[in-house]
Amino acid sequence: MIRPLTTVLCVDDDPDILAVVSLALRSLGGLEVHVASEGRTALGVLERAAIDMVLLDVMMPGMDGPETLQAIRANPATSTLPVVFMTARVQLYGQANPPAGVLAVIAKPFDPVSLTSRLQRLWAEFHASPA
Amino acid sequence: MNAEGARRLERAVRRLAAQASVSAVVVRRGDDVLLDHRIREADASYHWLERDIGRSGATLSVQHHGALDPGELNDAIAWCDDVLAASADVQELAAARDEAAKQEALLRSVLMTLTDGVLLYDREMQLVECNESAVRMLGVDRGEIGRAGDGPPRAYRPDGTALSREEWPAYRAVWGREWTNGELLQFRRRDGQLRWLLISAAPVSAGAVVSIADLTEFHEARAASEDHLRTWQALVDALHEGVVLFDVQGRVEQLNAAAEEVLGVRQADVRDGPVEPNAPPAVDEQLRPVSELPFQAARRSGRPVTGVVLGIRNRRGGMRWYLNSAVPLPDGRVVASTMDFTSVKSATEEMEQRKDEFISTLSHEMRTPLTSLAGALALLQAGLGEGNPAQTDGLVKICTRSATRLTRLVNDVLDLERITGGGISLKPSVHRVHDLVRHAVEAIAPAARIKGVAVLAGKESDDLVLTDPDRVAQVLGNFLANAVQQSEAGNRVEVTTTRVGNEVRMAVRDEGPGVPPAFRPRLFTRFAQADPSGARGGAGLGLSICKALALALSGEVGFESHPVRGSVFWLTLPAYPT
Repeated sequence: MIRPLTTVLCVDDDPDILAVVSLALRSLGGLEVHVASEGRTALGVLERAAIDMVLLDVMMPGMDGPETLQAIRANPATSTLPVVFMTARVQLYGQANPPAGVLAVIAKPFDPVSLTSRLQRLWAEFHASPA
Repeated sequence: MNAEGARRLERAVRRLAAQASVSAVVVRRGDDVLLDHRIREADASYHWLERDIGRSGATLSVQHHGALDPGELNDAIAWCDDVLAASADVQELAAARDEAAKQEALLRSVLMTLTDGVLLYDREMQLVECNESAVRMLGVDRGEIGRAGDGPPRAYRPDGTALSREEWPAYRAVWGREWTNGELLQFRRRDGQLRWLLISAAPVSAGAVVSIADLTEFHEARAASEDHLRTWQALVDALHEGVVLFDVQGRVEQLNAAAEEVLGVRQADVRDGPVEPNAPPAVDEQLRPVSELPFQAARRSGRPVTGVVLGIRNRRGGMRWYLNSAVPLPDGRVVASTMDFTSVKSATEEMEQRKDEFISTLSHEMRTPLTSLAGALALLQAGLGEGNPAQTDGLVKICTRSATRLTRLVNDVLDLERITGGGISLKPSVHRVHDLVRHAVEAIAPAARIKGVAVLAGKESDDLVLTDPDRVAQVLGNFLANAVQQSEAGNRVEVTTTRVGNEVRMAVRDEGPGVPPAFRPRLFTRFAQADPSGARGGAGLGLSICKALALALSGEVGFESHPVRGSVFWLTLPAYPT
């Protein structure tokens, strides 16, 4: 029996989206939520805290989503960490076939109320067949 | 013959003629042949006529009527050189003369009704007779008939060289006994008119007969039609569209310059007759080979074929696209046209692509505020704010901010469309530039103060502009908002006004980080943002709106950027004369 998802790092440069997502996961989903507004800050959080899953915005100033993903994979401590993309560019990142190293792509806008259960499902799938 | 001889001859002839039975005598005297005859008039009196009718050597036929008294005749013969004939039958001679007169009248009426001009010259090159048509064509004075004219009208060959008097066909016929058969000459008539005449001339015993056909109208019509044809040829050659005439066998009969490359046939190639087209293989829009070309389809079906798109790889390897049509002619030939629309096609495709990108970017720009708006609303609906006013307030603020962002985005898109589409109406009036600047500075001041940024309007100037103040405020407001956004607390933003020639330049200078070099070329394009996330606020339409507005105001926008000194964004407007 796999333990449920408990800690999530949410990375987005839009403070309003970050606020909505963290509120939904924390208050409705009961998860522990860490937030970062860009890639480099996110890598710092990963070093300090034990994170189960990363929710990563694709387009960000400075270090963007794909660059951040690359850095996560390059670090042996986080190389197998499940990463989920969030993007408004649904044409570029199809939901059906997520890019390599990405567990899933969540298209913006999404429903924050059901977000926790969606992430729990992805967490379970990840452990059933680790990529 | 001496004087005595002449007198004797005359006496002999008179004696002969005095006989009641002799009415006509033909004698030869030296070179001259004389016919003397008398005619009984209606009152039974006799009237003698003498006429020089020819020269020796010329054919002269006078019938010998009745018998002369041999003694008298011999007597006469003894006195003249030669008596050729004498006639006693005056009635018959008169009848012959009448008949001749009738023939002559008939001939004259035929001559007069001929549309061809006919002229009769005698051996002295005197105009003996001519018909009305000749008078009309040559502009000859009828009075000239019977007396020596002052030569032919000025005549020219088709190449423009003048004919000498001796080259005029009537002269050649009279003096050279030379035939002329249908020579085209141009004549300047005495009234100054130029006529194109087809001349024939024949030597006859009496001199020469000249016939003239006036081809002026025909010649002018032909020249006009040739001119017309040349004009059309020039027009067709000037066409950007290729035009080809295919013969019934599908060979190229004629083509214009624009059709040369696509057909692989030059205009010079068809000068000696139709040639086979030598076009490279064509493909359709899906790049599949085409088996039947439009002109072949038109020939087979007998129906016009229009709007067929064909691609042909040119010698340099590039694909060129052609729009083709073909129309069958009733005689089985086909006229085909082809237009190279490669540049139009690629421009259209580029426009489509740009539109797709715009839609895609726009939808992305809308999804971001929609995510927070819809998300915050969903959380409120799920009861997340219940019993927690601060949390409710936070979520409502997110909704408000997101809705504002969406509204601004929609307004910007509409504004940009209206300005670039020429849909804005400007309300120009004369203003001091400094006033426009001051208002813009005052408008941004509260926001700048919150951020701790000082915004200053530079030195006053009295320059005037004739412009729409609201639109200038929009451009300056945009520059100022960007400048404040790029600034940090303690930075300064300054707006300076300078006069450069016939233009007034308003420049907004900040002390921010400057525009990243990679981003500079597309700074004024739609949705351009150095920061792709939109984290700084706008959707990247602001500067493209400024550019479109400046254009509408007959001005210009631009910028200079330096990583340390910051950026300068400027707007120039035509100065209003003071």
